[in-house]
Amino acid sequence: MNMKDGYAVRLQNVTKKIGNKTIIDNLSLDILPGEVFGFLGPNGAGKTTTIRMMVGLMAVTQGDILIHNKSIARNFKEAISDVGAIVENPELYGFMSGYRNLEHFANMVKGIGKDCIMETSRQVGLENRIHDKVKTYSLGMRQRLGLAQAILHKPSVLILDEPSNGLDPAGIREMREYLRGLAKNENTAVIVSSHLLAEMEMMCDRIGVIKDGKLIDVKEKSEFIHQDEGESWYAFKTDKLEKAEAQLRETFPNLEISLAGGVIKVKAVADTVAGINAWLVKNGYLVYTITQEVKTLEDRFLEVTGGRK
Amino acid sequence: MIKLIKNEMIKMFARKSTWVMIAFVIVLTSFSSIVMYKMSPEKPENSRVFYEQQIESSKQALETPFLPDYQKDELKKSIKINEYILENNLPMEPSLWEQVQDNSSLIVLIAIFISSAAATIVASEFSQGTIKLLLIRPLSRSKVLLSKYLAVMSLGLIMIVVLFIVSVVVSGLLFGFDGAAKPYLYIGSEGNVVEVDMVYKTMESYGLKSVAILMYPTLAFMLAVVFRTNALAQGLTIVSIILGPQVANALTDYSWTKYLLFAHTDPSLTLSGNPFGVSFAFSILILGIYFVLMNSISWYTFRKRDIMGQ
Repeated sequence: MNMKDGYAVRLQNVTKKIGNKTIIDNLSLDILPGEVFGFLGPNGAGKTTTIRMMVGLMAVTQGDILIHNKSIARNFKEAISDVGAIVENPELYGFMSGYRNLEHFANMVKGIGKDCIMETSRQVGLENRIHDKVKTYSLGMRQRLGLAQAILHKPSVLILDEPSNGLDPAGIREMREYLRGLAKNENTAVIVSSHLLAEMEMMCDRIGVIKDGKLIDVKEKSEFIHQDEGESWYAFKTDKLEKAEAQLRETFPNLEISLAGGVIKVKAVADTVAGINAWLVKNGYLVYTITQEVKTLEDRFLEVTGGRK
Repeated sequence: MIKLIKNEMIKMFARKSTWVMIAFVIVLTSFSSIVMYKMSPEKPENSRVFYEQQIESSKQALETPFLPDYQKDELKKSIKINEYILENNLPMEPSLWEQVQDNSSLIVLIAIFISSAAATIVASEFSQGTIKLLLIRPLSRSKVLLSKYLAVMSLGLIMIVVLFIVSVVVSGLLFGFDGAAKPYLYIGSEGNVVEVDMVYKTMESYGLKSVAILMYPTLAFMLAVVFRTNALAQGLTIVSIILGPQVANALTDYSWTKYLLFAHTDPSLTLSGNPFGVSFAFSILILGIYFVLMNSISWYTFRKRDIMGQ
């Protein structure tokens, strides 16, 4: 990560009030150049509102948002020059061709020529359909065109709301690799929000969890998923399940042990698991598999956002 | 800025409705000239009889019981003008410029079309959701709105030019291109008949009636910015265009009506004596105030608005 440029995006105590309702509550966050940052949270938590404020579509009630040290509120034109974005769905002009749409947005920035438009449409894999009307596009193609308008002026901050929405698995993978490439090679700060949690795990370097307008957690991806230290659940698949479980309970009275779904579940640290295995084998049980149940982002997500009832 | 206006023009002309409106102006203008041609006497020697008949029928109409005063006035004026033509042996055949000047009344139709385009150019960005992509460019919101406003006004100008050219060509083909001699006649403030050069009068009519194309689309534009829905902005504006002047006329007894926008959207009326008894300068002042007020509301609202989800 290149630190010498400082922060790409800095949210300073950002608060948004509509009427007397607080939508975003004192949110502070720094996003670095060259990282892929993900916003995670249940619907209505304030992800899209935060993104709308970052691109100047909504005004900040208190606090400030800086893009490369330029305030989006006080210095909009300079700040937004560095930003490319899709906010919510990629809604483009259906009655015009993809090319005309890109030309339209190119006209609003200085110095983007025809070759740049064609190059961008090649980058997003739309070159064959770029002269067709957008209303004939599938959702996935619209998503690609949406990405094209966002990267047309080669922004150093790319903000995408639900970028993989509507793409097929191959498209999602392509998008993910493209965004990771942009962050790595062009030092672009990529900010995404998604409800596809598995997708976020693969795409992001850091993930921020928003709930009720508050940023309740920011974690590095590795820290987020793997909890190697400490206990986690392991599933033992053995023969004579019931007998094995009963004996285990006697032998290891301090552990949480249960029988569920054709496996014995044990909550333990790795060393203990090895011990259990040795004990089972010594006592004549056949151990077919031992699986560690890795906490997925989804589990974590539901845990931190209190979504699991 | 030129590029921005070009963008808006491209979007406007990518809509079928824009082309339908232009086609409508062409068809209606031609139709209006053709109807007038069919109604005029076939042979020049019959013209005198035609005018005498017109005077006679107007006089008969005056005898109708319970005729409202303003209709009586209109009839008396038309008798006076027709008599003046006969007395002074003025050219009687309908002429090219007379018809072109007559077609200026179709400018109201253009005002309706342009108001619709003005509402659409703003409201459609909201309904399509494209407003979000439009306002995250390195441009001030004021500039984006101005480009839209200027694009709509350019369309208005284009339609007036179309109306004028079609009028000249069609009327010229029907009545001949050499009939410019006939003057425009109206009853002046002292009840006398006043002669004005027809070409001058034509230019004046187009110029002054175009005020409607400035004011009503500005109203529609403002309503679209404030309400963000096309139907509401278009509906309110079209109702205003059709009913506004009538309501204003019906309420001339109240002195406050002279401050209504609708009392002034055809300032050519003030030149030939209008029902509100105000001067031309007063009309222009009132129009100016409304113009500045409506645009201030549009720009203020557009700059401040939070762009939320649909």
